[in-house]
Amino acid sequence: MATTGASDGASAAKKEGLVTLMSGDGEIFEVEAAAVAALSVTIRHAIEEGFGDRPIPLPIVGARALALAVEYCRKHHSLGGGAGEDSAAYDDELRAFDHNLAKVDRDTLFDLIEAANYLEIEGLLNLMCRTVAEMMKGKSVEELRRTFDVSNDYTPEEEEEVRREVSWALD
Amino acid sequence: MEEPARKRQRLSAAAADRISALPDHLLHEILAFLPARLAVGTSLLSRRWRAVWTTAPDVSFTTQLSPSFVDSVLRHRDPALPLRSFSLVAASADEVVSDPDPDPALPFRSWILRAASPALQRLTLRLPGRFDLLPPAVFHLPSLKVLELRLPGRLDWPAAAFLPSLQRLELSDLTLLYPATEDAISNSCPALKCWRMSFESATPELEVKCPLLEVFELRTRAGPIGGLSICGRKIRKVSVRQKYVAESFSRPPAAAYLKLSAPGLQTLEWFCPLPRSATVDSLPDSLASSLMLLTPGELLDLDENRLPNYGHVLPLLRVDRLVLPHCWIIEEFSVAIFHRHDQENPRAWVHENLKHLELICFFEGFGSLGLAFLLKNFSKLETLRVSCVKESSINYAIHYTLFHILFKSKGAFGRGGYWDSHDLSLKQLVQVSVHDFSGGRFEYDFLEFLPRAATSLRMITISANGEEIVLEKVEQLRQSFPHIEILLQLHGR
Repeated sequence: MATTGASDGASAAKKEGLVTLMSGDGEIFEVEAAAVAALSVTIRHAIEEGFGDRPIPLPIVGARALALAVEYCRKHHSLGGGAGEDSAAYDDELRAFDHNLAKVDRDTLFDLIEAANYLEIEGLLNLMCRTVAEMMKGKSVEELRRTFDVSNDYTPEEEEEVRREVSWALD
Repeated sequence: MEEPARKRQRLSAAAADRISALPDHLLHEILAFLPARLAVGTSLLSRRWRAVWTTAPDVSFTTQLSPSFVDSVLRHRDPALPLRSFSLVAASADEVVSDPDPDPALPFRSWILRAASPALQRLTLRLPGRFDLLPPAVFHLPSLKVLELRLPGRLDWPAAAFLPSLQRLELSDLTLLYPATEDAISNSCPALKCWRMSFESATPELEVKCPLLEVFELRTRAGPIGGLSICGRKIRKVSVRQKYVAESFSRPPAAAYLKLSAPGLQTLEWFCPLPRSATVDSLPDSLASSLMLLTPGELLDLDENRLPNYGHVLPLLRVDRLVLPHCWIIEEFSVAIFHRHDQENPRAWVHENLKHLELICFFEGFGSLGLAFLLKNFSKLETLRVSCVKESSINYAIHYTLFHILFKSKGAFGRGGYWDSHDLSLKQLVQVSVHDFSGGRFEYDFLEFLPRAATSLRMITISANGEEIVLEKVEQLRQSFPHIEILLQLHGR
């Protein structure tokens, strides 16, 4: 997947209302400026600063995450979902879209968190962070370490100390 | 395509600890969705996590609100960082593990006071039991964007309240709301976009006039909706619902008035008695409204294209969804239709574009006549929901006899019956749901009639008990109409 969006590749001339994005790994995306600018604060500012015909570089966002983020912006823009579930128009269709988007693999999930953070897409960031939180619920410390590949670097003494510190919160 | 080497590198990175590599503020975003006990527990994961929770700006208590636990969380947090969001949620009184305390509201109040800093953006309180008074500080939070309160009890909305950043206000399960004046909430919340309220009792009169408001929703479970004045250029949705008790024949009390001025309104739902008076101006043509009618008179008014006798315009807006929540409405309507069967058919209905119809019908009696009549008028219908009842709600022996003489042999919907000769076509009907299907002959005739009139029909959902006759009739339908998906949902015998 190299180019997405309304561009059908028929003409080299830049189409009205499109903006070019370049992912950190060098892929070019031509997307509707209105949709991404409405959802992504970073891209809105870049457009306002007048990147003009030059592609907007998004150095820390990989192509796959960018494609998904753009899809998110498009869908939410077209259905008027704005910033996410606080928005008035957050309806069943958007809910279903979000639900499906959140089914990505764990690696992509974190790519999307970083991408949404960099692009400042509040709704997408919330969606992905909530997804991670849901994965954490109901798990013991040991299960959490396994699920997220967190290696325990506490010495046994340290761990005992932390355990005492938060003993009031443990069952 | 990625270079294989790079891909490998990424794969090995995937096995690495992605979550701990996130900066603190993103870990905080994740912790924001966790109950406090779990968030605190993450400090055991590794050194990276030891203090992360203490600087998290969002704290949420969902269960087991033991006062000492909440106190500890608030005490162990980094005091230099004010809360951004604070949430106290307990589903039932049992979950509030109370230390002996003479005044159970006291700890709540002190926690809320501690959270209520000028930086607070989001406050959620869903608490059971007696909780009459919020600390006044809550009504003067300059940064608050979201305020969600589910506090059974009385809420006094002070005249001096000022929440200049508030975008979303949700008040649920209130028993009483006393705004200082009708427009006190509107005046307090100049930035409000979404306003939802639900009440256990009657609602007060309200003037809704926040300039940025997009959605207004009002629910009451018992008691009438107070007079409503709703005005705003950005309003897209207005929804007002009053719980309707189907057993009661008496008409629930109606709102005194509705004043509606919303040039951008896209959806209007009015699921409660029509207000005693209504003034509606500057609505767009694209408005789609949903309406519940509570009397046969209102339905007849529509049929005869006249304004309801109390003279307001609500039923004459473009209605997309119509709900008739009691079977006597359609029965009385049928009787009236029957009485003028020799008269000329009325003009086309205002609601000839109706897309969804929902009603309750006694198929063995007169109701089926009214239903067939409505279906004839609503030829653009897309979805239909019918609940079957086993008894007529009216007892007009003479009509019953007439009905039997006229239709009994073939029924209203049976093959070669009354409506087969009345050219009924429902080309856009795609989905039908039938509730409490008894397997009776007239109900079956109706189900068997639908696919003949509705050539696009693709799905019928039937809910019923598991009696033999029901299973048999559903099987019969499936064999007659293999192209239609027929779903059967069984409930207890």
